[in-house]
Amino acid sequence: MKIIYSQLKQFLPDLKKDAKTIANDLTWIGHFCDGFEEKDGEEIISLEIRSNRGDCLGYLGIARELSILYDIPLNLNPSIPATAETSPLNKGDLKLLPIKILSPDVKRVQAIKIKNINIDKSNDKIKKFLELHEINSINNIVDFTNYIMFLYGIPCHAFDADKVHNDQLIWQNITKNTPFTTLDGTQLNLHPNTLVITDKNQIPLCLSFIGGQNSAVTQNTKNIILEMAIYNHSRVRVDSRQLKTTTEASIRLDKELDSSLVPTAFNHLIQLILNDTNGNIDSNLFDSYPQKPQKKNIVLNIDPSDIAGIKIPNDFTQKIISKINIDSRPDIESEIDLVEEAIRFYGFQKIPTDQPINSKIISDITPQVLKNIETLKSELITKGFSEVRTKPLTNKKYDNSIMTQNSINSEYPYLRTNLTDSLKEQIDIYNRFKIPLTPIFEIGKIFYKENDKYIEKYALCTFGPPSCHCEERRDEAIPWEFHESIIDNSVKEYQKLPDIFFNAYEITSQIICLDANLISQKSEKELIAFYKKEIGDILWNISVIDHYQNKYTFRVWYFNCDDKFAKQIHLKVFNLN
Amino acid sequence: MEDYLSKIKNCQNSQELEKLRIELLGRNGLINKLFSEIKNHPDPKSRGIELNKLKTDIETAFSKKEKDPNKLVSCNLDLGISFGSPKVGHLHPLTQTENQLNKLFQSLGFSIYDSPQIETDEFCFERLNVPKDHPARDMQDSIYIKEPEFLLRTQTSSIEARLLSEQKPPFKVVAPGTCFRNEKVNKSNHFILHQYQGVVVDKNVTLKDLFGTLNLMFKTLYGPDVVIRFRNKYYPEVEPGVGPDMQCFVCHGKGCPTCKGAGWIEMGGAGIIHPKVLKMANIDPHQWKGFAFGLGLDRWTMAKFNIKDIRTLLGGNLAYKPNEL
Repeated sequence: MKIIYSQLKQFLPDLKKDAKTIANDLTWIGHFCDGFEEKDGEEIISLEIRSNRGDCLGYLGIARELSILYDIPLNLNPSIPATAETSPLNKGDLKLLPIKILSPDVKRVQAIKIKNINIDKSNDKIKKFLELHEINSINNIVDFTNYIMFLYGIPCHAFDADKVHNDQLIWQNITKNTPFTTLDGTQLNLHPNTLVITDKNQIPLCLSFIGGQNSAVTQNTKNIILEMAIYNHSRVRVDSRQLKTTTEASIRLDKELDSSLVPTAFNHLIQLILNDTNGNIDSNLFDSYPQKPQKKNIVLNIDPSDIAGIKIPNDFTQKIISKINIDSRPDIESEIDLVEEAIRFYGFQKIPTDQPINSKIISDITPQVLKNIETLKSELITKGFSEVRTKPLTNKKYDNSIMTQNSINSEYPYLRTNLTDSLKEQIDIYNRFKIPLTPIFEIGKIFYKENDKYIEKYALCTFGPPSCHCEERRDEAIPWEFHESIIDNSVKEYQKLPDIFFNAYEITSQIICLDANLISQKSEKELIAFYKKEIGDILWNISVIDHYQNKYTFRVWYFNCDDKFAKQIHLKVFNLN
Repeated sequence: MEDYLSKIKNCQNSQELEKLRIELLGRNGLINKLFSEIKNHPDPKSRGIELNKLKTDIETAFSKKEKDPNKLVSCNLDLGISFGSPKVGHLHPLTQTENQLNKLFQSLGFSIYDSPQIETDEFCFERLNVPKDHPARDMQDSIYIKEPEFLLRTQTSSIEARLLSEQKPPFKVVAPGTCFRNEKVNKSNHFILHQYQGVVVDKNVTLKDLFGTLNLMFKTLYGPDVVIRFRNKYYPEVEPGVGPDMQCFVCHGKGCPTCKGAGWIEMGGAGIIHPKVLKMANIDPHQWKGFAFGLGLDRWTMAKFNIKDIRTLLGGNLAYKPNEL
């Protein structure tokens, strides 16, 4: 959600803080500032609005937050909010639009018809506003609907009234697959249950979150029907996801919005259009409110200090709670929500960060199998094995394999039933990179089906020399073996892992192995230390494979460099040119 | 005598200890040798009592040492394989990160926990206050085994849900775990991720305890100079929710491409466990309070080991330099 700093002032005329301070303060209270830029002489704050705060997907919502935080007045649009009963727009000689609400997913709809409008380009102020929000300017009508959506966080839509048969709009969930062309020409196939606005001939004119080409406002439009509605957010989310279509409207309507704000926002839209287009109201205000929320009554019995761990004065809490209009905040449902309000406005930054939880041991509930795993790892690394981890999903299928249903990674459709297959693949990778053979192990979960139940168990797999040839493990003539077994809960002596090691490296090319003969009076240890320093970061390993009197044969392994570079270094370091 | 007791105490491994035992208590060991010389002593009776005490003290010292798991590397498990004394191997970088955290939290009295990776909808979502139509579910596309009931856990919070239902408070637990998301694999994203969950339920747990604990954790991992902030953030399973951020280590808060201009890097999620979550586990929220946190381990580990491609971590081109270097 982008906020143009200067635009906030229409709701907060007393706002004195600079844009960067506001961005920082909004972050503390829950609206993370993930970007700040200056463009066209404007300061723009980019905020990450969490999914439970649909009300903050508009300037008004953010202004409300700042009004509480800075204790400054909120100036709602001077135009008078209207309902069907109170609208000054209603006149005796005008009819109500013949709208039908057949869908249970509609929470509130307001609609009105305006005739004899002049379609034109938007004024520079609106064009600039939309451009900074990365929205293309279309014409004054469409631009006003988008402008109002950004101001209040509630989407609205304009139909070309002459393309709507008898001005009748019907909100309903379609019952069969239906083609639909969006405003931008995208062809969609609507699934049954999709929420649509149709005309009396059941032709979809608009979805809950995107308009249709068949009723679009164009340069030739003379009469329009405006609507603003709030829906069951789950319905919008399902429709949007099924159709793989996301719009600024769907981003807002798939969250819980404040339906009591509709009259204010819709009236502002009407006033803007009447002022700019010389149009005339041609219907009474339609206001259907089938799902009017009950007034909330939440009593705060929890002291926010008990949750924060610092003293928050009672009068501060009371002041904050009194300022929040909980009926316009769908996210506030219980007293713990009010506790959070008190703490976040008091300031998370006031809570000390240097007092960790006390270290008293309550009781060790570590499962024995986890202790056994730690012991096993300790045993294995002291025996020279190195640990690898592989993917629990695989392409290897066995009779008892468990298959995933919807993984987009089609090359790994099954959960592994053993670790041996995984280690074999790991060894293949090592061979590809020509990494010298080393004993490895993995401890991880394996999965299988048994009597239609899903079973998962910890297993251990090792790959190394057979036990009877432990001392000759570097002798490649003796084949190495895999051992795999289940790790269970049986009680074994528990021991902690030794200190950690930092020798793991990402290999990006084959290991290159080169030999060098030389004559030296120095000891093997001295020579190795010398060449280790000379070769530097690309040295994987170095060892003396032959030594007679003062003649040495060194074997050197180079890594993460190409063949040419390794040879160059090798010749230079061992003076073999 | 004191020398021998000190030698026993300082033994580093089982082989060394066994060698010392033979030297002292073996058939031809020092103690038997002293006993054989007793007849030549001017006061054989007193000498006998003295040697018996010496033998008991040494046996006690050996016994104590054998039961001290922290200071003795022994080989008590039968793995079906047996090797001599080859070079020491290496732990996987993720295990090293997990162990570093585990050690810290065990020193604070935490236990380690785990739960199934094939999880039910109930423990992955419902019991974490994420109802079926909640927007929070948009955050994670799940890999299902049998839709809608069985799926691969998307977050280690499911370990928290299991823990709350299986254990009676008070408890302090951390849980490293593997999670799954339905994402395409590339250099930066993987469908398998590793998280670290922490859960405390006790009588008077507060945000102050949470902030202090997480701050200690970040300083342990990144050093004492790291700057951490705790801001308000929404997660369905906690209230108030907390977002711990680390000041960008590249630009130190000024904003750069690494932190996408924000100056801060998001490090995970945390908060006070929502009363609804406690209630669903039959834990009285009026009596008990708790905090929980969850953090991703992959990025930390990659940064620590200079790994650029996330695929390296699992079955990839990760290898260990021979440790004799």
